Amino acid sequence: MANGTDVDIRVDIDGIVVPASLSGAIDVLLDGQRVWSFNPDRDGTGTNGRRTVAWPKVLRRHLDGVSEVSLVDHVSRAVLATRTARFGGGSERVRVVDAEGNPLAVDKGGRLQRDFSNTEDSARDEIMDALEQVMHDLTEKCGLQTYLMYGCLLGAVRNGHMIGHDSDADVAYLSAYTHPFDIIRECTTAIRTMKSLGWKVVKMSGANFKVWVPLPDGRRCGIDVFGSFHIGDSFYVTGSLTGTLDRSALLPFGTVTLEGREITAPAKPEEVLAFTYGPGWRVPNPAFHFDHDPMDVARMDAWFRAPRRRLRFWHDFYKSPDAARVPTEPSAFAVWAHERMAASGEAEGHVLDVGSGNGRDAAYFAARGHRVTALDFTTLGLKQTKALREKAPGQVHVRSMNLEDLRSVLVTGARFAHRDGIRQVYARGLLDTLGPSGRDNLWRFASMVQRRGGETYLEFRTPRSLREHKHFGVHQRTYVDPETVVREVAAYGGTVVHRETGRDLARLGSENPHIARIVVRWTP
Amino acid sequence: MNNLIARLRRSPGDEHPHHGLAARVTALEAAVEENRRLNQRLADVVDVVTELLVPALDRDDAKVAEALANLNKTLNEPDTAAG
Repeated sequence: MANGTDVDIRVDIDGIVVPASLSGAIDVLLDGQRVWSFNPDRDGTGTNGRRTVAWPKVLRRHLDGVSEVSLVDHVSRAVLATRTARFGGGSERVRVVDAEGNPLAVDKGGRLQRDFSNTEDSARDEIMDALEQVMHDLTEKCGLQTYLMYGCLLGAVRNGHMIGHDSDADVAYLSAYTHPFDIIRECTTAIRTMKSLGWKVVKMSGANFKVWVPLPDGRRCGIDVFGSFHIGDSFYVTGSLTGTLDRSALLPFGTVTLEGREITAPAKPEEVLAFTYGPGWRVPNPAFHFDHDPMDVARMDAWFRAPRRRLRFWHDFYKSPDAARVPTEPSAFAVWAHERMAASGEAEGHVLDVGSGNGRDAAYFAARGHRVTALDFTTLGLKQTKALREKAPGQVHVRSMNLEDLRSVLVTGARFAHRDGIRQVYARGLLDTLGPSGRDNLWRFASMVQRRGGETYLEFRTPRSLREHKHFGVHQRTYVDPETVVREVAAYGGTVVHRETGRDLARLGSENPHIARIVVRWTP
Repeated sequence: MNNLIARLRRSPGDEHPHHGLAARVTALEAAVEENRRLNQRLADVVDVVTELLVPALDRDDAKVAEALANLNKTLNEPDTAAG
């Protein structure tokens, strides 16, 4: 059903099939709203003169109903093809919007975001005000050499405006240091200073952070602040930009014009843009992805991102339809643990549910009269059991703790350890998701908070479950040998007081994994 | 770490030469990654000690509590809303 267009395409729920001759950045519009851009050469698969480009996962979730799908050449704005497509069983128009009805598009990080092309002119002024104020505070209050970077620099040099398909404003600072340890400390100090000035700041790694700025229309804009530094002969910009760039390309700073304002920029913006985006940086390309060398990404991961390496996975999981497949009734382990607690006179004692997930067991303990603290690094999953928890006679406090982050563990652990009383530590399925460093931090945390008594309840899949069918399919999982757990616990001064392994302990749908249950005491 | 060093020190002649080299590179990569991660861990420890040491020595409980709260504020609070 072509609408008078030239390019032969096919659109269905799996993706878009285009001729192999199609190239460059292609915008995808649903009923006139840009929702995504792709590059057939890079994103497509297939031979015989056709390429299939799969819908991004985040977008596919919205595809239920009818829509007019248009492909538009991003540079020439020529409409290449338009088709009416029907997805799933729905008869309504497909809508890719947020809870407030604002249009969303897939950004270069693969997430659905609102972008500047949907931003009113007045909001653009507000964003620019915020950008200038953030740059001022970073420079004057934090003492950082701050300059415009990434998409904002690109837009400024190309045509003096922010790039429509971008959803964040980007600035960078040139670190005074040349060692990761000093660079991390410099960034921590800057975050602390910015927070003390009243900014809402989220740490994104050991060397970059985001400042959230509320906009007058109720939306908010993120200003990303990236650390950049020379180590040895290489120049690095967080995320993972790595290469050779002389300091003379950056200093002394000059200015560029963005939305009519003079903004601090590198001495040679063109050199910095070529370093960032490659020699083709002048040609607009919303489908652009960084193609970093995996070695460079691994280096930056280890330096700055180790504490967050599992966070995004779980954040995305609890935003995905899979989250609804996590049961909300209590696990068999929670029932078993409660009975053991009751038998030892702790029927209503304080339970720290570490890695509480959707809070199903936290809700159960609260229903049994326990005071519960639900700890997790993403608390998104807890929304599912909010009603259950509110009905329970016991109270559930929710706190964020990241077991991959030593500081989070030390600070949270110290606060519990300082309080009087005894508390139980409950961790079901947690060891399945932690790496060795996270496990190490769990032992540190449990031994701190149970220095006056209590027991640590652990349930996890053993390596015998490794290649078996899983309720949730492919997932980030660790299969710890119970012997390893016993050895590590002993090294931290703990004693295993109960241990069993077997099946039929933790059925999940059609999955019946081989499970270990271990109970540890940290006091004699 | 001790295991890694032991593996690195093992004579390459103990194993098939190519297998030995690949295993040593893998062990080296793991050791390098572990060392890189120490920067963040050490920075965290130094930050916690620096913030707490003076009020702790002063035995000023209010300041210790305030320092802990401030440390919490700089944590990696994920951008999520609890229900």
